[in-house]
Amino acid sequence: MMTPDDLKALQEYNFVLEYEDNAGKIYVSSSEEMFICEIKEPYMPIEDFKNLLLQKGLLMKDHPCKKFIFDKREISGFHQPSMEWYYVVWKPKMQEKFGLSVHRKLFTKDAWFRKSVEAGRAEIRKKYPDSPCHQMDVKVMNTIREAILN
Amino acid sequence: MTSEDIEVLKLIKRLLEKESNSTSQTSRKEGDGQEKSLQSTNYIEDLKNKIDLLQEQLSSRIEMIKMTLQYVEEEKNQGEYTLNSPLVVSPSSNIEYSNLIEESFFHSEKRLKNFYPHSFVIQNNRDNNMGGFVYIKDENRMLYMISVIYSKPSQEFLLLSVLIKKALDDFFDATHKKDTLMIWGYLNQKIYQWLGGKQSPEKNNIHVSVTAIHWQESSVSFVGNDMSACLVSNGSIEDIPTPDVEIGRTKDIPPSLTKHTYRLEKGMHIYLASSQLIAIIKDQEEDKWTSFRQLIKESSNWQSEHRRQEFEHFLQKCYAKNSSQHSDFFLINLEI
Repeated sequence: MMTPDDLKALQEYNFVLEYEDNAGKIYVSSSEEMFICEIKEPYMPIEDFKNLLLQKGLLMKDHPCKKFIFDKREISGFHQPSMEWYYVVWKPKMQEKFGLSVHRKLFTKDAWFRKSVEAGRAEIRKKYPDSPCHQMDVKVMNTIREAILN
Repeated sequence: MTSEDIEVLKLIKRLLEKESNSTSQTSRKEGDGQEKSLQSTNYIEDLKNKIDLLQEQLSSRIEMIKMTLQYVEEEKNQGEYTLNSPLVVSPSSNIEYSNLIEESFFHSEKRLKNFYPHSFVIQNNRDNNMGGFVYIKDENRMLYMISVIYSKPSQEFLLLSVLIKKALDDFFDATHKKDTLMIWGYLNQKIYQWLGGKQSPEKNNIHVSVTAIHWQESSVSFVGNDMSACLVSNGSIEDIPTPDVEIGRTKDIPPSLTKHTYRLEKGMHIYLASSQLIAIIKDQEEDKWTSFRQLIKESSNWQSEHRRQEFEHFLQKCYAKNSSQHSDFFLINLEI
Protein backbone atom coordinates (compact mmCIF):
# COMPACT_ATOMS: atom_id res chain seq x y z
CA MET A 1 0.00 0.00 0.00
CA MET A 2 1.25 3.47 -0.92
CA THR A 3 2.34 5.63 2.01
CA PRO A 4 1.31 9.32 2.31
CA ASP A 5 4.79 10.28 1.09
CA ASP A 6 4.49 7.93 -1.90
CA LEU A 7 1.18 9.55 -2.84
CA LYS A 8 2.70 12.99 -2.39
CA ALA A 9 5.59 11.99 -4.66
CA LEU A 10 3.10 10.77 -7.28
CA GLN A 11 1.50 14.22 -7.26
CA GLU A 12 4.78 16.11 -7.28
CA TYR A 13 6.03 14.20 -10.29
CA ASN A 14 2.72 14.32 -12.19
CA PHE A 15 1.85 10.65 -12.12
CA VAL A 16 -1.61 9.83 -13.43
CA LEU A 17 -3.49 6.57 -12.93
CA GLU A 18 -3.83 5.09 -16.43
CA TYR A 19 -4.93 1.56 -15.70
CA GLU A 20 -6.40 -0.44 -12.84
CA ASP A 21 -7.72 -3.96 -12.39
CA ASN A 22 -8.07 -6.41 -9.49
CA ALA A 23 -4.38 -7.18 -9.57
CA GLY A 24 -2.80 -3.75 -9.74
CA LYS A 25 -2.56 -0.15 -10.90
CA ILE A 26 -0.39 1.57 -13.47
CA TYR A 27 0.59 5.21 -13.07
CA VAL A 28 2.28 7.19 -15.82
CA SER A 29 4.25 10.40 -15.66
CA SER A 30 4.76 11.78 -19.14
CA SER A 31 6.89 14.64 -17.86
CA GLU A 32 9.28 12.25 -16.07
CA GLU A 33 8.90 9.50 -18.65
CA MET A 34 8.34 6.98 -15.90
CA PHE A 35 5.83 4.26 -15.15
CA ILE A 36 4.85 2.89 -11.78
CA CYS A 37 3.12 -0.45 -11.52
CA GLU A 38 1.65 -1.14 -8.11
CA ILE A 39 0.63 -4.68 -7.20
CA LYS A 40 -2.46 -4.79 -4.99
CA GLU A 41 -2.61 -8.42 -3.92
CA PRO A 42 -0.22 -10.55 -1.88
CA TYR A 43 -0.22 -13.14 -4.67
CA MET A 44 -0.93 -12.89 -8.39
CA PRO A 45 -1.84 -15.73 -10.72
CA ILE A 46 0.34 -15.79 -13.83
CA GLU A 47 -2.47 -14.66 -16.13
CA ASP A 48 -3.19 -11.56 -14.02
CA PHE A 49 0.48 -10.82 -13.78
CA LYS A 50 1.01 -11.14 -17.52
CA ASN A 51 -2.09 -9.10 -18.24
CA LEU A 52 -0.96 -6.24 -16.03
CA LEU A 53 2.45 -6.08 -17.64
CA LEU A 54 1.00 -6.41 -21.13
CA GLN A 55 -1.27 -3.47 -20.33
CA LYS A 56 1.81 -1.54 -19.38
CA GLY A 57 3.37 -2.50 -22.71
CA LEU A 58 0.29 -1.17 -24.50
CA LEU A 59 0.47 2.10 -22.58
CA MET A 60 4.09 2.52 -23.56
CA LYS A 61 3.06 2.83 -27.17
CA ASP A 62 1.53 6.19 -26.30
CA HIS A 63 3.78 7.26 -23.44
CA PRO A 64 7.56 7.12 -23.67
CA CYS A 65 9.15 5.44 -20.66
CA LYS A 66 12.74 5.67 -19.49
CA LYS A 67 12.26 4.10 -16.10
CA PHE A 68 9.91 1.47 -14.76
CA ILE A 69 9.16 1.35 -11.03
CA PHE A 70 7.64 -1.92 -9.91
CA ASP A 71 6.02 -1.60 -6.51
CA LYS A 72 5.73 -5.16 -5.19
CA ARG A 73 5.54 -4.32 -1.51
CA GLU A 74 2.19 -6.07 -1.19
CA ILE A 75 3.51 -9.32 -2.59
CA SER A 76 4.36 -11.99 -0.06
CA GLY A 77 4.77 -14.93 -2.41
CA PHE A 78 5.59 -15.27 -6.07
CA HIS A 79 5.19 -17.76 -8.85
CA GLN A 80 8.64 -18.54 -10.23
CA PRO A 81 7.47 -19.25 -13.83
CA SER A 82 5.82 -15.79 -13.81
CA MET A 83 9.10 -14.29 -12.70
CA GLU A 84 10.95 -16.14 -15.44
CA TRP A 85 8.54 -14.79 -18.01
CA TYR A 86 8.94 -11.28 -16.58
CA TYR A 87 12.74 -11.47 -16.68
CA VAL A 88 13.50 -13.36 -19.85
CA VAL A 89 10.52 -12.43 -22.06
CA TRP A 90 8.90 -9.20 -20.95
CA LYS A 91 11.94 -7.19 -19.91
CA PRO A 92 14.03 -7.92 -23.05
CA LYS A 93 10.96 -7.27 -25.19
CA MET A 94 10.42 -3.87 -23.57
CA GLN A 95 14.08 -3.04 -24.07
CA GLU A 96 14.01 -4.11 -27.67
CA LYS A 97 10.79 -2.27 -28.53
CA PHE A 98 10.98 0.83 -26.33
CA GLY A 99 14.57 0.99 -25.08
CA LEU A 100 13.47 0.45 -21.48
CA SER A 101 16.36 -0.86 -19.41
CA VAL A 102 16.09 1.04 -16.12
CA HIS A 103 14.10 -0.81 -13.47
CA ARG A 104 13.49 0.10 -9.86
CA LYS A 105 11.76 -2.22 -7.45
CA LEU A 106 10.15 -2.01 -4.08
CA PHE A 107 9.77 -5.14 -1.98
CA THR A 108 8.36 -5.99 1.38
CA LYS A 109 11.00 -5.70 4.10
CA ASP A 110 10.46 -9.32 5.08
CA ALA A 111 13.95 -10.88 5.06
CA TRP A 112 12.73 -14.33 4.05
CA PHE A 113 10.86 -12.92 1.04
CA ARG A 114 13.89 -10.92 -0.03
CA LYS A 115 16.01 -14.05 0.22
CA SER A 116 13.47 -15.85 -1.97
CA VAL A 117 13.69 -13.09 -4.56
CA GLU A 118 17.47 -13.45 -4.52
CA ALA A 119 17.10 -17.21 -4.91
CA GLY A 120 14.66 -16.72 -7.78
CA ARG A 121 17.02 -14.36 -9.56
CA ALA A 122 19.94 -16.76 -9.09
CA GLU A 123 17.81 -19.53 -10.59
CA ILE A 124 16.99 -17.39 -13.63
CA ARG A 125 20.65 -16.44 -14.04
CA LYS A 126 21.57 -20.12 -13.94
CA LYS A 127 18.84 -21.12 -16.39
CA TYR A 128 19.22 -18.20 -18.80
CA PRO A 129 22.81 -17.03 -18.45
CA ASP A 130 22.80 -15.10 -21.73
CA SER A 131 19.55 -13.21 -21.24
CA PRO A 132 19.95 -9.43 -21.71
CA CYS A 133 17.94 -8.94 -18.50
CA HIS A 134 21.15 -9.51 -16.51
CA GLN A 135 22.76 -6.42 -18.08
CA MET A 136 19.96 -4.02 -17.19
CA ASP A 137 20.09 -1.27 -14.60
CA VAL A 138 18.05 -2.79 -11.78
CA LYS A 139 17.96 -1.47 -8.21
CA VAL A 140 15.86 -2.17 -5.18
CA MET A 141 14.53 0.95 -3.43
CA ASN A 142 12.62 1.60 -0.24
CA THR A 143 10.18 4.35 -1.25
CA ILE A 144 8.53 5.62 -4.38
CA ARG A 145 10.31 8.95 -4.00
CA GLU A 146 13.69 7.24 -3.75
CA ALA A 147 12.85 5.14 -6.82
CA ILE A 148 11.86 8.21 -8.83
CA LEU A 149 14.99 10.11 -7.88
CA ASN A 150 17.57 7.34 -8.28
CA MET B 1 5.97 -17.71 4.58
CA THR B 2 6.04 -20.11 7.46
CA SER B 3 4.92 -23.71 7.63
CA GLU B 4 2.04 -22.44 9.75
CA ASP B 5 0.92 -20.22 6.88
CA ILE B 6 0.92 -23.24 4.61
CA GLU B 7 -1.11 -25.21 7.10
CA VAL B 8 -3.62 -22.34 7.29
CA LEU B 9 -3.89 -22.27 3.52
CA LYS B 10 -4.45 -26.01 3.44
CA LEU B 11 -7.13 -25.67 6.08
CA ILE B 12 -8.89 -22.91 4.17
CA LYS B 13 -8.80 -25.05 1.07
CA ARG B 14 -10.31 -28.00 2.92
CA LEU B 15 -13.04 -25.79 4.38
CA LEU B 16 -13.86 -24.36 0.98
CA GLU B 17 -13.96 -27.82 -0.57
CA LYS B 18 -16.26 -28.94 2.20
CA GLU B 19 -18.47 -25.92 1.76
CA SER B 20 -18.50 -26.43 -1.99
CA ASN B 21 -19.56 -30.09 -1.65
CA SER B 22 -22.26 -29.29 0.87
CA THR B 23 -23.66 -26.46 -1.31
CA SER B 24 -23.85 -28.64 -4.37
CA GLN B 25 -25.52 -31.43 -2.39
CA THR B 26 -28.08 -29.04 -0.86
CA SER B 27 -28.76 -27.57 -4.25
CA ARG B 28 -29.37 -31.03 -5.73
CA LYS B 29 -31.62 -32.09 -2.87
CA GLU B 30 -33.78 -29.01 -2.75
CA GLY B 31 -34.32 -28.77 -6.48
CA ASP B 32 -35.50 -25.16 -6.12
CA GLY B 33 -36.26 -22.81 -8.96
CA GLN B 34 -33.90 -22.09 -11.81
CA GLU B 35 -32.73 -18.80 -10.27
CA LYS B 36 -31.67 -20.44 -7.03
CA SER B 37 -29.95 -23.19 -8.98
CA LEU B 38 -28.09 -20.60 -11.05
CA GLN B 39 -27.05 -18.76 -7.89
CA SER B 40 -25.77 -22.00 -6.42
CA THR B 41 -23.92 -22.84 -9.61
CA ASN B 42 -22.26 -19.41 -9.66
CA TYR B 43 -21.43 -19.72 -5.99
CA ILE B 44 -19.86 -23.13 -6.52
CA GLU B 45 -17.99 -21.87 -9.56
CA ASP B 46 -16.72 -18.96 -7.53
CA LEU B 47 -15.61 -21.28 -4.75
CA LYS B 48 -13.88 -23.56 -7.23
CA ASN B 49 -11.96 -20.61 -8.64
CA LYS B 50 -10.96 -19.61 -5.15
CA ILE B 51 -9.80 -23.13 -4.42
CA ASP B 52 -7.83 -23.21 -7.67
CA LEU B 53 -6.20 -19.93 -6.78
CA LEU B 54 -5.38 -21.13 -3.29
CA GLN B 55 -4.01 -24.35 -4.74
CA GLU B 56 -1.82 -22.42 -7.16
CA GLN B 57 -0.75 -20.05 -4.42
CA LEU B 58 0.10 -22.94 -2.14
CA SER B 59 2.13 -24.78 -4.79
CA SER B 60 3.94 -21.59 -5.74
CA ARG B 61 4.86 -20.91 -2.17
CA ILE B 62 6.04 -24.44 -1.60
CA GLU B 63 8.20 -24.16 -4.72
CA MET B 64 9.44 -20.78 -3.55
CA ILE B 65 10.40 -22.20 -0.16
CA LYS B 66 12.15 -25.20 -1.72
CA MET B 67 14.06 -22.97 -4.11
CA THR B 68 15.06 -20.58 -1.32
CA LEU B 69 16.18 -23.37 0.98
CA GLN B 70 18.27 -24.87 -1.80
CA TYR B 71 19.77 -21.46 -2.53
CA VAL B 72 20.59 -20.89 1.16
CA GLU B 73 22.16 -24.34 1.30
CA GLU B 74 24.28 -23.58 -1.77
CA GLU B 75 25.30 -20.26 -0.27
CA LYS B 76 26.34 -22.05 2.88
CA ASN B 77 28.36 -24.57 0.87
CA GLN B 78 30.05 -21.77 -1.01
CA GLY B 79 30.98 -20.33 2.36
CA GLU B 80 32.57 -23.64 3.23
CA TYR B 81 34.28 -23.75 -0.12
CA THR B 82 36.04 -20.48 0.57
CA LEU B 83 37.30 -22.10 3.75
CA ASN B 84 38.93 -24.66 1.55
CA SER B 85 41.20 -22.28 -0.21
CA PRO B 86 44.76 -23.42 0.52
CA LEU B 87 45.74 -22.43 4.00
CA VAL B 88 48.97 -20.69 4.64
CA VAL B 89 50.36 -20.07 8.06
CA SER B 90 53.08 -17.47 8.00
CA PRO B 91 54.76 -17.30 11.36
CA SER B 92 56.83 -14.17 11.75
CA SER B 93 59.59 -15.95 13.67
CA ASN B 94 60.91 -19.39 14.56
CA ILE B 95 59.61 -18.89 18.09
CA GLU B 96 56.12 -18.22 16.81
CA TYR B 97 56.36 -21.24 14.54
CA SER B 98 57.43 -23.53 17.37
CA ASN B 99 54.64 -22.10 19.54
CA LEU B 100 52.11 -22.89 16.84
CA ILE B 101 53.40 -26.44 16.55
CA GLU B 102 53.37 -26.89 20.28
CA GLU B 103 49.86 -25.54 20.57
CA SER B 104 48.46 -27.73 17.80
CA PHE B 105 50.45 -30.91 18.22
CA PHE B 106 51.51 -31.32 21.81
CA HIS B 107 48.63 -30.49 24.11
CA SER B 108 46.07 -33.13 23.24
CA GLU B 109 45.60 -34.48 26.73
CA LYS B 110 45.39 -31.02 28.27
CA ARG B 111 42.69 -30.07 25.77
CA LEU B 112 40.79 -33.27 26.48
CA LYS B 113 40.96 -32.76 30.24
CA ASN B 114 39.53 -29.27 29.92
CA PHE B 115 36.24 -30.88 29.01
CA TYR B 116 36.48 -34.32 30.58
CA PRO B 117 39.09 -34.22 33.39
CA HIS B 118 39.24 -37.99 33.90
CA SER B 119 40.29 -38.69 30.32
CA PHE B 120 43.72 -39.42 28.89
CA VAL B 121 45.76 -39.91 25.75
CA ILE B 122 48.52 -42.51 25.51
CA GLN B 123 50.81 -42.59 22.56
CA ASN B 124 54.07 -44.14 21.70
CA ASN B 125 56.09 -43.09 18.68
CA ARG B 126 59.52 -44.07 17.50
CA ASP B 127 60.05 -40.56 16.10
CA ASN B 128 59.10 -37.08 17.29
CA ASN B 129 57.86 -36.16 13.84
CA MET B 130 54.98 -38.56 14.00
CA GLY B 131 52.18 -39.42 16.35
CA GLY B 132 48.85 -37.75 16.71
CA PHE B 133 46.91 -34.94 18.21
CA VAL B 134 43.38 -34.28 19.37
CA TYR B 135 41.29 -31.23 18.66
CA ILE B 136 38.26 -30.62 20.86
CA LYS B 137 35.31 -28.30 20.45
CA ASP B 138 32.29 -28.01 22.67
CA GLU B 139 29.25 -26.30 21.16
CA ASN B 140 25.58 -26.33 22.08
CA ARG B 141 25.79 -29.46 24.24
CA MET B 142 27.74 -31.24 21.54
CA LEU B 143 31.32 -32.29 21.89
CA TYR B 144 33.41 -32.72 18.77
CA MET B 145 36.66 -34.60 19.09
CA ILE B 146 38.89 -34.77 16.05
CA SER B 147 42.03 -36.84 16.09
CA VAL B 148 44.74 -36.86 13.45
CA ILE B 149 47.46 -39.48 13.49
CA TYR B 150 50.58 -39.72 11.33
CA SER B 151 51.82 -43.28 11.12
CA LYS B 152 55.17 -42.49 9.48
CA PRO B 153 57.63 -39.80 10.46
CA SER B 154 57.81 -36.61 8.44
CA GLN B 155 58.76 -33.11 9.47
CA GLU B 156 55.99 -31.89 7.20
CA PHE B 157 53.42 -33.38 9.55
CA LEU B 158 54.18 -30.81 12.20
CA LEU B 159 53.36 -28.07 9.73
CA LEU B 160 50.26 -29.98 8.63
CA SER B 161 49.10 -30.09 12.26
CA VAL B 162 49.32 -26.32 12.45
CA LEU B 163 47.33 -26.04 9.24
CA ILE B 164 44.71 -28.54 10.36
CA LYS B 165 44.22 -26.78 13.67
CA LYS B 166 43.85 -23.46 11.87
CA ALA B 167 41.47 -25.06 9.35
CA LEU B 168 39.33 -26.47 12.16
CA ASP B 169 39.28 -23.13 14.00
CA ASP B 170 38.06 -21.48 10.78
CA PHE B 171 35.53 -24.24 10.18
CA PHE B 172 33.98 -23.96 13.62
CA ASP B 173 33.89 -20.17 13.36
CA ALA B 174 32.27 -20.14 9.94
CA THR B 175 29.86 -23.05 9.93
CA HIS B 176 26.69 -23.13 11.97
CA LYS B 177 25.46 -26.61 11.27
CA LYS B 178 28.04 -29.33 11.63
CA ASP B 179 28.13 -33.05 11.58
CA THR B 180 30.88 -35.63 11.66
CA LEU B 181 30.72 -36.37 7.93
CA MET B 182 30.90 -32.69 7.09
CA ILE B 183 33.96 -32.23 9.29
CA TRP B 184 35.59 -35.39 7.98
CA GLY B 185 34.93 -34.37 4.37
CA TYR B 186 36.33 -30.95 5.05
CA LEU B 187 39.55 -32.30 6.54
CA ASN B 188 39.81 -34.92 3.82
CA GLN B 189 39.66 -32.22 1.18
CA LYS B 190 42.08 -30.02 3.09
CA ILE B 191 44.65 -32.78 3.53
CA TYR B 192 44.20 -34.01 -0.02
CA GLN B 193 44.88 -30.51 -1.34
CA TRP B 194 47.88 -30.19 0.89
CA LEU B 195 49.31 -33.49 -0.30
CA GLY B 196 48.95 -32.32 -3.88
CA GLY B 197 46.56 -35.01 -5.05
CA LYS B 198 45.99 -38.70 -5.19
CA GLN B 199 49.49 -39.71 -6.20
CA SER B 200 51.00 -38.87 -2.86
CA PRO B 201 51.81 -42.03 -0.90
CA GLU B 202 51.58 -39.99 2.30
CA LYS B 203 47.81 -40.17 2.21
CA ASN B 204 48.05 -43.72 3.55
CA ASN B 205 49.98 -42.46 6.57
CA ILE B 206 47.41 -39.91 7.73
CA HIS B 207 44.49 -41.12 9.80
CA VAL B 208 41.66 -38.81 10.73
CA SER B 209 38.71 -39.50 12.97
CA VAL B 210 35.81 -37.32 13.97
CA THR B 211 33.67 -38.19 16.97
CA ALA B 212 30.66 -36.17 18.04
CA ILE B 213 28.81 -36.68 21.30
CA HIS B 214 25.33 -35.28 21.11
CA TRP B 215 23.93 -35.11 24.63
CA GLN B 216 20.52 -33.85 23.66
CA GLU B 217 19.94 -36.60 21.10
CA SER B 218 21.81 -39.11 23.22
CA SER B 219 23.89 -40.19 20.26
CA VAL B 220 27.48 -40.65 19.24
CA SER B 221 28.65 -40.14 15.67
CA PHE B 222 31.92 -41.51 14.49
CA VAL B 223 33.81 -41.57 11.25
CA GLY B 224 37.47 -42.33 10.76
CA ASN B 225 40.00 -44.09 8.56
CA ASP B 226 42.12 -46.73 10.28
CA MET B 227 40.65 -45.87 13.65
CA SER B 228 38.39 -47.89 15.90
CA ALA B 229 36.05 -46.68 18.58
CA CYS B 230 33.99 -48.28 21.30
CA LEU B 231 31.65 -47.21 24.05
CA VAL B 232 31.89 -48.75 27.50
CA SER B 233 28.88 -48.72 29.73
CA ASN B 234 28.08 -50.80 32.82
CA GLY B 235 30.88 -53.23 32.13
CA SER B 236 29.92 -53.94 28.55
CA ILE B 237 31.63 -52.84 25.36
CA GLU B 238 29.85 -51.72 22.27
CA ASP B 239 31.86 -51.03 19.12
CA ILE B 240 30.99 -47.77 17.39
CA PRO B 241 31.04 -48.50 13.67
CA THR B 242 32.42 -46.11 11.07
CA PRO B 243 31.65 -46.06 7.37
CA ASP B 244 34.50 -47.04 5.10
CA VAL B 245 36.47 -43.88 4.35
CA GLU B 246 39.94 -43.05 3.18
CA ILE B 247 41.94 -39.89 2.60
CA GLY B 248 41.67 -38.68 -0.98
CA ARG B 249 38.47 -40.55 -1.73
CA THR B 250 35.14 -38.76 -1.82
CA LYS B 251 31.84 -40.55 -1.85
CA ASP B 252 28.37 -39.93 -0.56
CA ILE B 253 27.87 -41.54 2.80
CA PRO B 254 24.43 -41.58 4.39
CA PRO B 255 24.56 -39.88 7.83
CA SER B 256 22.76 -42.92 9.29
CA LEU B 257 26.00 -44.86 8.92
CA THR B 258 27.80 -42.58 11.34
CA LYS B 259 25.16 -41.72 13.91
CA HIS B 260 24.35 -44.21 16.65
CA THR B 261 21.91 -43.80 19.48
CA TYR B 262 22.96 -44.84 22.98
CA ARG B 263 21.66 -44.11 26.40
CA LEU B 264 24.41 -41.66 27.26
CA GLU B 265 25.18 -41.24 30.92
CA LYS B 266 27.89 -39.56 32.91
CA GLY B 267 30.72 -41.97 33.70
CA MET B 268 30.59 -43.82 30.39
CA HIS B 269 33.82 -44.22 28.45
CA ILE B 270 34.67 -43.82 24.81
CA TYR B 271 37.91 -45.35 23.57
CA LEU B 272 39.54 -44.51 20.30
CA ALA B 273 42.48 -46.56 19.09
CA SER B 274 44.73 -46.39 16.08
CA SER B 275 44.87 -49.40 13.79
CA GLN B 276 48.55 -49.83 14.75
CA LEU B 277 47.59 -50.29 18.37
CA ILE B 278 45.05 -52.94 17.49
CA ALA B 279 47.61 -54.62 15.24
CA ILE B 280 50.16 -54.71 18.07
CA ILE B 281 47.73 -56.35 20.45
CA LYS B 282 46.39 -58.81 17.92
CA ASP B 283 49.94 -59.79 16.91
CA GLN B 284 50.66 -61.12 20.39
CA GLU B 285 51.05 -64.82 20.84
CA GLU B 286 48.80 -64.98 23.85
CA ASP B 287 45.20 -63.91 23.60
CA LYS B 288 46.01 -60.32 24.43
CA TRP B 289 43.04 -59.00 22.55
CA THR B 290 40.63 -60.60 25.00
CA SER B 291 42.74 -59.29 27.89
CA PHE B 292 42.68 -55.81 26.41
CA ARG B 293 38.89 -55.87 26.09
CA GLN B 294 38.69 -57.18 29.61
CA LEU B 295 40.86 -54.33 30.87
CA ILE B 296 38.60 -51.82 29.10
CA LYS B 297 35.56 -53.34 30.85
CA GLU B 298 37.08 -53.71 34.29
CA SER B 299 38.76 -50.33 34.44
CA SER B 300 35.65 -48.27 33.85
CA ASN B 301 35.16 -47.56 37.55
CA TRP B 302 38.82 -47.08 38.43
CA GLN B 303 40.40 -43.74 39.24
CA SER B 304 41.58 -42.22 35.99
CA GLU B 305 45.27 -42.17 36.97
CA HIS B 306 45.18 -45.82 37.97
CA ARG B 307 43.35 -46.68 34.76
CA ARG B 308 45.92 -44.83 32.71
CA GLN B 309 48.82 -46.61 34.45
CA GLU B 310 47.27 -50.00 33.82
CA PHE B 311 46.79 -49.26 30.13
CA GLU B 312 50.34 -47.96 29.82
CA HIS B 313 51.65 -51.05 31.56
CA PHE B 314 49.60 -53.34 29.34
CA LEU B 315 50.66 -51.60 26.13
CA GLN B 316 54.32 -51.41 27.15
CA LYS B 317 54.33 -55.16 27.61
CA CYS B 318 52.92 -55.60 24.13
CA TYR B 319 55.36 -53.02 22.75
CA ALA B 320 58.36 -54.75 24.30
CA LYS B 321 57.52 -57.95 22.50
CA ASN B 322 56.80 -56.35 19.19
CA SER B 323 58.98 -55.58 16.22
CA SER B 324 59.90 -51.92 15.71
CA GLN B 325 57.72 -51.45 12.64
CA HIS B 326 54.63 -51.91 14.82
CA SER B 327 55.82 -49.90 17.76
CA ASP B 328 53.64 -46.83 17.33
CA PHE B 329 50.24 -46.48 18.87
CA PHE B 330 47.66 -43.97 19.90
CA LEU B 331 44.88 -44.46 22.42
CA ILE B 332 42.31 -41.98 23.65
CA ASN B 333 40.13 -42.60 26.66
CA LEU B 334 37.28 -40.20 27.11
CA GLU B 335 35.34 -40.49 30.33
CA ILE B 336 32.21 -38.55 29.57
